[in-house]
Amino acid sequence: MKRDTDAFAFDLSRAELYWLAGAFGIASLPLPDVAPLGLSPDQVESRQKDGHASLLTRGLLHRSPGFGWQVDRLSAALIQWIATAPSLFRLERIPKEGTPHRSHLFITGEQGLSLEMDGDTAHFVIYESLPLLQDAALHWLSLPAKTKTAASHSIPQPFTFLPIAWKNPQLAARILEERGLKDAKSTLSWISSLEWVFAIAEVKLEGRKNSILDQLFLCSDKISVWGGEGKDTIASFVPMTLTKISAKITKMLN
Amino acid sequence: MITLHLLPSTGHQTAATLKQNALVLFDETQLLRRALQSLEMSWQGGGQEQFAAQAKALLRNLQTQADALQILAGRLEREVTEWEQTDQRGAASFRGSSSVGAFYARLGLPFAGGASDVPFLGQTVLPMFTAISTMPFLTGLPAWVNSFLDKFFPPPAIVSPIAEGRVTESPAVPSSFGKLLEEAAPASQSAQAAPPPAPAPAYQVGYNIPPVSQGALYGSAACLPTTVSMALGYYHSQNPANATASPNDLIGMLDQGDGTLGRGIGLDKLNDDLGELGYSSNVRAGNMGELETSLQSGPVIINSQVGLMGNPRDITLNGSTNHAILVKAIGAESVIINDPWSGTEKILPRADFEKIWNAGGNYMVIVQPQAAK
Repeated sequence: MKRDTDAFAFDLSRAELYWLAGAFGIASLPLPDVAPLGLSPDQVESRQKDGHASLLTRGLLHRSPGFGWQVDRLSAALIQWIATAPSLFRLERIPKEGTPHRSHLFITGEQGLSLEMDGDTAHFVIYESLPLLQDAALHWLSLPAKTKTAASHSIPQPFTFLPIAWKNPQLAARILEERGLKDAKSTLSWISSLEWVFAIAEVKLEGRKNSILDQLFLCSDKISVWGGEGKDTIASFVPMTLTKISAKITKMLN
Repeated sequence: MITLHLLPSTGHQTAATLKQNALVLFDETQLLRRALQSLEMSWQGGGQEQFAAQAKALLRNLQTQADALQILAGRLEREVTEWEQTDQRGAASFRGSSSVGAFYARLGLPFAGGASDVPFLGQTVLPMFTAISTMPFLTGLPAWVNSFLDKFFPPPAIVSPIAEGRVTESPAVPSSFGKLLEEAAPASQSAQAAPPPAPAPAYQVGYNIPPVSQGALYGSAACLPTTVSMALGYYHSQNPANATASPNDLIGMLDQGDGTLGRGIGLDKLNDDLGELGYSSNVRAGNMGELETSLQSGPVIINSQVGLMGNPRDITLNGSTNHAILVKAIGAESVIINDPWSGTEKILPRADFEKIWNAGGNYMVIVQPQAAK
């Protein structure tokens, strides 16, 4: 439990989340990672038992005399906040080298919430106001201090294509050729210079049939930052200034 | 916020049992009616008229109870059917979209966004009839976090008992019909009214406030305005400059959406109206120590969770109806309250009081003249 004047961090384990979800009748949690698949009912029950014991140990759960169970209201609020949110903002950063990083942002009224998974630990941070959440999102991006202007480029579905292109430039060249994109050589050279690609998407939660309401892609070679928008199969990346990026993200999170 | 786990099949079985018992009671009442008619024909004089009057009152009472059971059975059946329909709608929605979810999960595309493929789908962790409530266990949270949580879990609405407004209560008739009827009712399940309190030195602070019955006001769900009215009456008695208002007056001041006739009124929904009357009203959760501190400045309204019995009206310790009561004194062993449902003063053992207050979320409504703030 970490306290700041304007942001409050709180952790729950995956097992604790499972127990809380079962207790409150929640069937689906929008966690920012790929949940373990193929667990048997026994395995799920075992994790829930672990979560129950852990919540008791941490004093977040008490037996109510003759009445059932009393759950700490912060834990209950967090799980219900994410479980009942009509939409969320999904942040994902894929570096050329290293592990992809995901975060989910939730907004209700004046408050914001970010959720990241670190293994089996869910890190929640509640922000007192939306501007603080916007600042946190920009900080999460780790943008260069200054950007230089550069040429524009077009590529198909950047989040799928860029990681493929980094690993297999020949396959990437063939895809660009098949899509009829011009200046494939220049585009491939540009792709190889990129250090990371980032996406922020507003996702409407409708059970498992989620839909993207709005999204922005960014990629950078540490000197320039390019931005691409839209749901089209081909994204056109144009150089963006830090001011423009900030304004765009602030607008999305409002 | 309370979550109750209950299998629909249990609900159906309970409804069927209620219905069956209603029919049995109805049949037995008819048999008794016929037996009494036979007796009436063969018994002349010697107190027969008085006996007949008492017997008719008893028959009316039995008929009322049978009707009440049938109404309860019907309500429970409809409620459970609604759960099932809601569940089926949810399940249909899930089935209809599962292929899309699986598609995105397999490809791991960013467009999938949102819900993970959660393995605990439908896996409940608690046995039936287990209630889950929330409590502020973590201390030292920043004030803005507590304020946010207060908004997230607002005070509960006061809900009327299940049978109210549906069954006409028979007037209570003193009866000497049969020895069994003269015996005292079992007291174990009920927060029975204690003998009238004598001057009680065990209470450091106590307020002499006469109890008021909420009666059938607002669909028999006027416990909050009735307790508030009692509190205002006390302040008016201390200083005539303080406004007073009857439960009906307070109901008349409600804005649209503040409450639902027959269901109740949110604990904070009279705040603005009390402001107009020159009072401040603060709704918050607290513990016994805080309640005792607040009681130093005046009577305090709390939200309890109890069972509400009819004919005669009484409250029971085991129940799930949110119910506002007025706390007048707290001692080491007991708490004196005015219960608007029965319209009586009660002395509850402290443990019983804590149990029903705890079940009601430990909410208290502190009403005070604005000048006293």
